[in-house]
Amino acid sequence: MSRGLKVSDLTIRRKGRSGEAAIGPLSFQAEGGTAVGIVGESGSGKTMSLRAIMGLLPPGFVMGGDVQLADDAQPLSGDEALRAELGRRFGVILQDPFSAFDPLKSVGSQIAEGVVRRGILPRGKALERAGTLLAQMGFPYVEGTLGLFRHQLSGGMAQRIAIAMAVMPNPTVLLADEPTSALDASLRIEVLELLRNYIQTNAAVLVMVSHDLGLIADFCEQLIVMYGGQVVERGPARMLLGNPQHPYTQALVGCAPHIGTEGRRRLLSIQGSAASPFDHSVGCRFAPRCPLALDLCRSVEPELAEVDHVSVACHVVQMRTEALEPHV
Amino acid sequence: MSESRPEMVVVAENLTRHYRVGNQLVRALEDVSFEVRRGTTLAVIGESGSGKSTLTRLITGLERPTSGRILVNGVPPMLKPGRPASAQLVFQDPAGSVNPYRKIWKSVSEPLHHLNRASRKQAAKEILARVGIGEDRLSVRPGRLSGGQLQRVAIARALVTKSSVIVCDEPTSALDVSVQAQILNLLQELQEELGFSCVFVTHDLAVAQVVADQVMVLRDGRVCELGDAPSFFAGPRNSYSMALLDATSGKHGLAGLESFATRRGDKPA
Amino acid sequence: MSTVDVFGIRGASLDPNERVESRWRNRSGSLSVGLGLLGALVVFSFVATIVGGSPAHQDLNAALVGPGTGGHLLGTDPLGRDVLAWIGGGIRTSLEVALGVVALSVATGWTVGVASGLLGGWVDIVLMRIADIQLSIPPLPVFIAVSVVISNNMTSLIILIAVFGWVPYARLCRSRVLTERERGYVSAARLAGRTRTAIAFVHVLPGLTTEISVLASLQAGICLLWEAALSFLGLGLQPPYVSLGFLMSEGREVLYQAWWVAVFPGAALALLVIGFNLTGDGIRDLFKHDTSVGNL
Repeated sequence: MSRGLKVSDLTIRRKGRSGEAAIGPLSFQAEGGTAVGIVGESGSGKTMSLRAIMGLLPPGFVMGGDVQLADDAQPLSGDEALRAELGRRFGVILQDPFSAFDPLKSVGSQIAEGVVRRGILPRGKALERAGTLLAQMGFPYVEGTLGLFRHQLSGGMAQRIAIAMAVMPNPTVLLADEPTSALDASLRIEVLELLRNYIQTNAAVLVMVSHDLGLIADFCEQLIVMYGGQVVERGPARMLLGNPQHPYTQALVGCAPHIGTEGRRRLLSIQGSAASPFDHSVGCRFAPRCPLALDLCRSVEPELAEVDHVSVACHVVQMRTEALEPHV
Repeated sequence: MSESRPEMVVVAENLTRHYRVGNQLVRALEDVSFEVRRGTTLAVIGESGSGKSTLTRLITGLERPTSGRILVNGVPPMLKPGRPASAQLVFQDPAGSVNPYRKIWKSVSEPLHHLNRASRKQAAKEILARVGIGEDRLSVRPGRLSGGQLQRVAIARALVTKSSVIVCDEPTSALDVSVQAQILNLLQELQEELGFSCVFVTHDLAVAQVVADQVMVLRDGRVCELGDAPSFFAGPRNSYSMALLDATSGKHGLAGLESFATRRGDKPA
Repeated sequence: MSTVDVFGIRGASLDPNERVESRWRNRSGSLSVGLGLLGALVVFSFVATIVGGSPAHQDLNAALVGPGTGGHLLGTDPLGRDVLAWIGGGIRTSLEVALGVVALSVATGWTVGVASGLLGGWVDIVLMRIADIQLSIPPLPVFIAVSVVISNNMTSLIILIAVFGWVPYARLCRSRVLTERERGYVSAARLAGRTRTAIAFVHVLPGLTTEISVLASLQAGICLLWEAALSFLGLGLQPPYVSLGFLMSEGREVLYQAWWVAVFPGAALALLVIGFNLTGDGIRDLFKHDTSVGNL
């Protein structure tokens, strides 16, 4: 596992509360050069999980579990250890491309700032690297670009420069929180292709949080679906989306509109509203909205179990699989 | 062209809107013409900067055109205090569209000037029930509602005066996909029941296909393509439209994978 | 994504009915101390009047007696007036002036700011230039000049100080209106057929109350100091008005023989100002938006 990433049993709880974790456990492993997509809606815990990996949980929350980077002997755990990696082995890309920039300084003075301040590269080399990266991001006229200020950038430009900034320290892991949601459709693909090129060339891992299943299908090898703070399904992206097992994933795929032969129509929808990870009592978190829910589902929380290369946390699916397998 | 064709509820003829920002002239809309038939939905597709939001402001009367004309029910839309606008608007940002300090029934019944408090509350109650917000939430403030619920409130407010035209400016862009499905279904149900016409602005072609009878593509303030929805999605004529369609559905996105529902032959609920 | 998050952690969205209580517990330090101090001073002023009698009562036999002597808890001034009684009356006078100025400044500033923001165009330009001119005039020379003319009148003094106090509110309200104007609910109100005045009161004002309160608390303190300063110089409020500043000016003359005449009113004044400042800080801290959580 060269330059890979392994997240083990990542959990998030409210401070002072014990018992079941509100969010998690989240576990996955990714090799360098691949991308992991975490998909979910509001309240799924996907963004909080990403923040936990960054060591940036808001006050009042506590994380458990650890993050192992390939070159380390020991895994990293706890806010401080993870935060220390920001700008070193972790690169971060946020939803709002402009939030990465100080409006009062030019782009040039900011791009190199991080690596220089952390002592990763001397200033001269940093600026050289910045130039190379900007060229890779599609800015041939590097001098001009370095002199721009935030208000002169369009959304697409800003995000591409933000990516350049994030990869300056040659991070092992890129953590992206909805990196293309704020961009026009035509730019999304461009930006994601840049990210993919980077991770493949540098054997880095991309962990991307998104609500857009289609994008994840195209750009990520692995897909993790979260609902109400729990991982409900996990596996190879295209396989999973081509044949989703968990009722929530099925519903999500079903209710997403896509261009096809049908015109005006009603969409498949999930009744009720999203479960909050912090308001949880017993049983499967999706049970109240699930068309297949059994009594078992309402009393016992399902665990992830492998079904054909894909891990699914659903009693109904697991029972169905057992029924089909010959008993030992 | 459109003098006495009452079935054309919204008519735009050579609609143009310019405005000044500092020393520059911004041509937000240039020579836009279209018609919307009663009870149908026109999807206006455009990326940022295409002028789609300006169009919504012109239809509702929040802004006046620089030249050309816009008619709603045969008359140019004009905002007069004391009278609600004939075309109402549902905004993109659910939290920003309702006053965060007021109870939602008050926000919903704001257009009903001529009624007393009790009647306004009753009207709000009825329309909120119709969009799926129960009586127990009437006196709640927006801070307690989710994005989807807030959009329902915004839709309720737009419908409370029984206006014949509802303009939706990216109403589901800020919502989760499952909530989006609920809201799109709700809008269609309400349209069938109440018979209003709808101008639905979006950047998302897939969403447009779900709701549209007619499609208009805007680019840099101009009409790129205008026609009925089935023909548009089967094969647009304009290269920009084709590029947009490609970007959304081509090899990217879920259509690249067979949709679970259609493959199984399931019908939506 | 939806801005109102589902977790129950309210980030940048403001929910007035829900958050106040938990905030109160966490960060009400300044606010309670500030309000407590002001409350205590008000109570003290009434107690002082009861104990000390009428501030105007002069007793030349008991002139300049020290604190604790002859029934005068804080001593007397050169004319035998009881210092405690004077402070009692003085606190109330100061508060009257401060509240009067703040009320007038807020009313004027808000009207100008909202009108400027909502109406725009030349109204905005003219009003804002007036505001700029107002700010460029140094207060003290004007106070001195005008005070000579208006002589000893509280209403006139309040108006005079308020003339120099309304601009920050106008700017605050105007900038807020300009931001809020583009918000969905203001457009929705226009589409609903609301008049502009109704929009100003119903939609714009509630959002401003916190910021106005903060500004007002801080301004009250400054205003107290102005009144005291003018009275000290012999310009603001002279007897029969009971002003802390006036007593301090008397006390200055006899500072080495009878320190209590200047020190006690000075302390009372300082405590009042501190009380207002802490209150202002407290309100600001209480309603500070916690933006660290962001989009979850």
